Amino acid sequence: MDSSIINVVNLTIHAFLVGSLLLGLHRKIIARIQGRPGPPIIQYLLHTIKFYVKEITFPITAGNPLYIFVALLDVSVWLTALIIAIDLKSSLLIIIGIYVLQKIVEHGCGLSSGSPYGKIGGVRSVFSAAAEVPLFAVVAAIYLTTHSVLISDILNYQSIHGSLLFKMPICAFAFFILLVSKAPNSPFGIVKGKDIVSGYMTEHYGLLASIIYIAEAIAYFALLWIFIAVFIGPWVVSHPLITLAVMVGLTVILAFVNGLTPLLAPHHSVMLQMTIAGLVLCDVLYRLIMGG
Amino acid sequence: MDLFNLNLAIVLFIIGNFVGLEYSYRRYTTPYTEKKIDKIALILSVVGGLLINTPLYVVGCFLIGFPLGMRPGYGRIEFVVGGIIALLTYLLLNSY
Repeated sequence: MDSSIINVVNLTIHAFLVGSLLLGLHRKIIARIQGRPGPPIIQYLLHTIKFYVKEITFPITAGNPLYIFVALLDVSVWLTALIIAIDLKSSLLIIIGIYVLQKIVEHGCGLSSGSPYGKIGGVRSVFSAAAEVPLFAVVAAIYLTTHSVLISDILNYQSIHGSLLFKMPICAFAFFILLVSKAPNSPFGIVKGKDIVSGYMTEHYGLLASIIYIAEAIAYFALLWIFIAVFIGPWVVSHPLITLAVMVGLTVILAFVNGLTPLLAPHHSVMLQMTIAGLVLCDVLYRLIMGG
Repeated sequence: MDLFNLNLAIVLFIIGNFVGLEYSYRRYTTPYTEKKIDKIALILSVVGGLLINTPLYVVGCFLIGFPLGMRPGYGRIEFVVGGIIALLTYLLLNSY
């Protein structure tokens, strides 16, 4: 893809709109599973616009510089991920680095507000860093198989050798669990569990909440795209319409998974993610011994 | 289809959703309906389903977004009919 400014703007708008619609669809499907009519699929977009035009408020307990900065950092983090992954098709290691930065955003967002719910959400985001361990292991396994961590090289490898989904099912499963944990109402969604209101987002309101919503829509799109590119292959990501169709399919699967599973307790969530990391590490060891 | 045209179709689809939502809230006051079909939404959905496979796909996206965007509990059957027509048209056009 030509990485001119116009293309990057085009891609950003596409990611935001598609991410918002998919998150709306996700919410609609969960509502149908629960026997409710559910909101229209543009509800996420309506929320974002509503918060964008609302008055901005600052809690008296908030540490204002950090309170504002984390929202801006969130959107910067995911815009960077979008450009590095989709436009430049660069390294998966940078994507991991960006994903780790997201943890700083969640932690800072929760702690800066001064709210006890926000603080618990921030602390839980540190626990849920366990979700990154399988991600590291997945990248290691991909490197052992394709001898590169560049998305462009992985796509080239798949165009010659076929989809990695069938060659590395355990890694694909681990990455899919990452998608599950990032999607709303996830069993691993301890950071924004309903027991702590909205977790780290509890005290963010108005324009700042809107910016975080925009970042989350872009994050959802970027993560789905990376999963499709790394595990399904170039014949999907080279056509925006087919990519969109596969993303809709993945969102339906994610909505069913999240709609039919209860929220795990924080320690169970971490334990399960570490178990998946252990599985992927066994896969990495096997590939090391067998020579890729 | 390139990304710009796809974005255009998505924006029109979202506007169709907005219009459908506004229309249904003005027209219906009850929160939920069963076995009742909105004729305007059905016609727009059928036309949208046909147009989505033509060079006027952007208009098709707008029209098919109309029943989907209607308030909760409305427009479901209309959207499914439009979707099936779009799928059948696609299969017919691509079978020759």
